[in-house]
Amino acid sequence: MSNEPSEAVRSPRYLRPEDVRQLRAMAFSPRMMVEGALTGKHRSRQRGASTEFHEFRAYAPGDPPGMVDWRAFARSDRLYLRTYELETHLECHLFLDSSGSMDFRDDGPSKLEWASHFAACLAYLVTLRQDRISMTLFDRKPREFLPPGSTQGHLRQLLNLLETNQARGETGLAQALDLSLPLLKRRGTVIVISDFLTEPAETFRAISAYTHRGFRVFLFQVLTREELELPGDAPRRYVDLESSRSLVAHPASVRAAYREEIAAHQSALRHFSLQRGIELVQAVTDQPWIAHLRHLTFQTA
Amino acid sequence: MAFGFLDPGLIAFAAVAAAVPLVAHLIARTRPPEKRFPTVEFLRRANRRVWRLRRPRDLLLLALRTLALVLLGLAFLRPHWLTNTNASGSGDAKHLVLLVDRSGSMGAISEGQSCFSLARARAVDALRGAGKLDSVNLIWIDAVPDAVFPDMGRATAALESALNEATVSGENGDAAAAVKLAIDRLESLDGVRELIVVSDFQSESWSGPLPSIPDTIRPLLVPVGNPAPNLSLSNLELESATLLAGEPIRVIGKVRNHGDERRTVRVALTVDDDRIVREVAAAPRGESAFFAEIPAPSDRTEFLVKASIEGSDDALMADDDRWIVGRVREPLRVGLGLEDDSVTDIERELWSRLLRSFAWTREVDDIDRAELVVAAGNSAVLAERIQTLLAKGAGVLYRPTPAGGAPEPLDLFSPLDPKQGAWESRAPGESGWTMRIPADREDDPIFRLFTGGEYGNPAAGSTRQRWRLTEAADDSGTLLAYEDGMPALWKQSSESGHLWWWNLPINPSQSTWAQQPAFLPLVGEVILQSRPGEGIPAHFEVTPGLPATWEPTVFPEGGETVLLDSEGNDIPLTEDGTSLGALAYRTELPLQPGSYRWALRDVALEREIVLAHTTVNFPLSEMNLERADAASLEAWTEARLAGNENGIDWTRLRDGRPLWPWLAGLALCLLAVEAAILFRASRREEATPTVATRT
Repeated sequence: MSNEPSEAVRSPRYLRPEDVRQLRAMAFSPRMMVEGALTGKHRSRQRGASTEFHEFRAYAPGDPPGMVDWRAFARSDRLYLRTYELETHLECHLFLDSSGSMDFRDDGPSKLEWASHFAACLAYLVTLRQDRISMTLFDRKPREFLPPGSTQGHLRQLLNLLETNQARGETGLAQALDLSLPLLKRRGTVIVISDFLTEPAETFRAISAYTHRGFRVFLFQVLTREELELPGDAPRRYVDLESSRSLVAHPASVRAAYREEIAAHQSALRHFSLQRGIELVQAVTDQPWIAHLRHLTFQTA
Repeated sequence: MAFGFLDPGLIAFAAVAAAVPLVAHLIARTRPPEKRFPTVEFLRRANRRVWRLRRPRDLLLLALRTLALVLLGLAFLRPHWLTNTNASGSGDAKHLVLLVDRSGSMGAISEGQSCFSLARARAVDALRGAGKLDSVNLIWIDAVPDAVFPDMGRATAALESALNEATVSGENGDAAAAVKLAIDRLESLDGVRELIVVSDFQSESWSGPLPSIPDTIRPLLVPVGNPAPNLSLSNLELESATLLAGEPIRVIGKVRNHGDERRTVRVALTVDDDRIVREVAAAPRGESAFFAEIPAPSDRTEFLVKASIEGSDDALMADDDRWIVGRVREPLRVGLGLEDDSVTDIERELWSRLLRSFAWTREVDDIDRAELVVAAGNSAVLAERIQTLLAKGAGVLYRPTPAGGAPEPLDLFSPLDPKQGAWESRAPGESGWTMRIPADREDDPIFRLFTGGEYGNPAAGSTRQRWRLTEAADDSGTLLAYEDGMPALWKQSSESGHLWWWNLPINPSQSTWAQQPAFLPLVGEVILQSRPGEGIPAHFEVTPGLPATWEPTVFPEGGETVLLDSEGNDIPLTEDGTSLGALAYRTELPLQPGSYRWALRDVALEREIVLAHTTVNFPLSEMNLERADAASLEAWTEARLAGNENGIDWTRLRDGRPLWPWLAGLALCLLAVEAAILFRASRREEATPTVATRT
């Protein structure tokens, strides 16, 4: 069975042939151990049948007697279990923010379009190595959930989901993560793509539940240049994309304070992510998404 | 102290003007374009923070801009700082009296227009700039100052109309009376009282004693026009206003030069169709006389002499013309009052022929009807007759004889006292007594004819008989004297008549003097000088500003009596009677300088017969255009003389310090501060931090 995606898969909107050509030279590597049901090429923290020795540990009632190292028992008269590292499939859980704020664009693609490109490429990379990928589209709560899968059909299904996805509703990142946690049966890599325009403390509180359960979490923040810099001089009525609340402001007058607010927000995000050992990538839509994939990949060619 | 606005009417206008953009802004306010944005909450927080930080600055800017606009708006309303002495804007009642000079000197041209035009404009400006007045009046400064309103009025429009319709009067200006009238009007009022005097402050009108202005009245002197050197015809008179038939018109005039440069001008004298021109050199600030002899009209009517300075080209033209009226009377009645044996028959015959040799004399037999009598004799009867003649105003030419130097018993010749003397003669072989004209009598009118030498020397020749006074004579009346000082021709004039002491024999055997060429002209001059004085009719010359009255000696029949000016325009007349019941005509209005003629208008024949003349000459006091001393005027009013510039800032003059330049300057300063704050803010905004992004 070939691992090459079919033409039907390459043609979707968010996975263009030129992207695919670049992606072939990459391999998904979240630089961590994964937990998978199938034996694969990624190391797993789950102890199991494998040739790779891990450690001795004391026997506890309930442990399978087959794993007792009788030689060690003969020497020490104590029961020790011999554990091996289990090689398993990588499982990647993709969370894509589809709230109304992701619909914003300046001169380039909208944040959701940029994030969808990124997600499609990532999914392609994951499935390219027969790894499994799940995807959760959320706003205030999980809107769509695609269970993990590694087949081409699963990839097609994921791409279709991206294409039909539309940004709407209010953002509730923490709530959505809270609600999504039970959906993930197996630990793996959690990649959250969002603009993270929510309260950082609340967001990282929700993310902490994932890290405590052994998930490796990557945060991709997608913003536009206009959100960062607030250009323009003429006064405007700014209408919130999610709440429809409006505000008349003179950009030239509030630009400095706005930039300070945004900078403080970004700084808080970086602070929390550093504190929790979570990698945070802050991307701007005028930057190519391929470049950001390199945070998660290594070159194969 | 308070504020006042020179243009309070602008307040309403400014309010409307300020409301228009506000209403337009509210009606046509454009909503800012809508922008759908994801980070509105950040924007809101930024906005809140900015407002918290910028609000004081914005409030400061708002205050600065508002204040600057308010100050600019106020500046356009031209506010002024009012003190207690200011008239405008105070809360008290406000009264104003305008004194506007329309005397003759105001007709002078200054900067292309008459001083009076300037005065009218200044007065109108003063009225319009006075703000709200509780009462106002206008008093003209002329010969008889009068107010437009009998009492104080409120209708400034009526005063403006009066100002616009007024003309220069040509009268002298009685400044003191005008000021007194103004003070009388203002003194009885309560509130702020202001007296504005608009005049050229001509020296002769304003140098005299002026009534002091009470402290409660605020005077303001506004001079108009610029003092200019002027050349004027200051005098014109006839040697005799009543001419004898055939007697030439002898005109004496004077040209006065008010400037510092010597001027030579031509003076044209016109009588009917006769015109004589004299060139007169007028010394700086001096007066030069001229004399002219013009043939008299042949008929016995009044005649008009007009003198005009030609080419004076000075500021005041009204004083370049002058008129005088004269008339031709019947021949002088002369008679001989020579008593028997007083003179020889030859001399009697000579006197008779002499008196008949002149065209303007007619010999009468009855000396009581005579206007000039040649008398000789010593009787008391003669003395009484002489006294009667002199009392009637007739002239008496007394000829001393060997029988006596004066008639008895009257002492007619005091202080000559000829009774104390004796008759003396010289033999034919001896030389006669020669004569001379005393040095101080060479300018006597009797010798004026001989100044050119054309008529010989009146003192030439000698006599062999004379009356010798015993005591030294008082030579104050001596016109011709013998070499030893004895009076030969002596004259005593009084209001009643002329008495001559004729100590000159005319018999050729006793005198070579009577054979000289100057003899007959001298006798003619003596006769002319001896004519009885006649009163000048009142209508001959009228003072400017007064009505003219004419009492015809003969009832004018055959038409309507009219008075015409030099242009032929009718002057309104009223028919009036004198206190003696005689017919008189009176002008309804005062006459202005010029010549007028009383005429009988025959409408049917479409002709006008001139019956009499009236002249109104420019007042002497108005000829000098020099301005009165400013220091004395300021001392009088205790106020500074206003400037004589074209545009007078009445508010500055009347109402103290203008505030609008300060307001405008302050507004500009505030705008400058605002600009500095904005510049600093923009510099700070240029240094706005950028948000770092990580790739």
